[in-house]
Amino acid sequence: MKTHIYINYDLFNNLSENLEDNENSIQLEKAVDFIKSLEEKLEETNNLLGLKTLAKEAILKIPEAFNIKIEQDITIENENVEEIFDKKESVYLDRNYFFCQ
Amino acid sequence: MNDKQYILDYLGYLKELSRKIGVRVDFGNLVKSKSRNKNKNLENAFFYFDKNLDIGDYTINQKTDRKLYWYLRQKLIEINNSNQAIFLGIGLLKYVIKENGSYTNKAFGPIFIVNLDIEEDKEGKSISIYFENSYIYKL
Repeated sequence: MKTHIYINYDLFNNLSENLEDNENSIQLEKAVDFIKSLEEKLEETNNLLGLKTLAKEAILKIPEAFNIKIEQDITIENENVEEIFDKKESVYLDRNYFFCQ
Repeated sequence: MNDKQYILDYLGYLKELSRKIGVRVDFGNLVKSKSRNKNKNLENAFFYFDKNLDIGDYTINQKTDRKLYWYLRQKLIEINNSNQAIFLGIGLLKYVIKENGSYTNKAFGPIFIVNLDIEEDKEGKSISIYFENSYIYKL
């Protein structure tokens, strides 16, 4: 059996939505370099703690890589997921979780 | 091919990857589709799992991992004969922007997604999660 570990490309597609209209190719290059670097690091990771650490590192680089406007800094939180859904601000929940989709 | 075209092609490649993988995770839709009893649905939708597992097998025992066992057992029943699957999400990013006075979720999902092979034993006392022979999906 094989377990597949994916980068959530869909998430990064959404983050890069505005970049395609961007005339500044340096910004586009930053986003591409970021994802390629993430792919390389993912290949070297072999446990869940490693994945969690890599995800947290990525979060800190996302605002610059995707030139996204965030009214407040992304905060690292450990509160309940229900509260994350209700928040009207950009946030990051630093946890692993099972879900069904 | 100029630099910009190369980069746009790369972004196109990412979109194609999303489509081929077939795992499109947007938790914004989870709220929209289940708004009637949102808190209850969310409570049942996620199960936090912060243990550090190496790549390999992991057995969830009914007696020692009771809550997780029953969560996964329920999900296995729910996804039976459907095109759904059970995943492990790593991190959760919610990116919100304010446009014309209202808030919009532009991105809402995990950074990484682990697609799991999960199986209940015949006696119904444990559930196995397979991390073995793991590889990174890259086209």
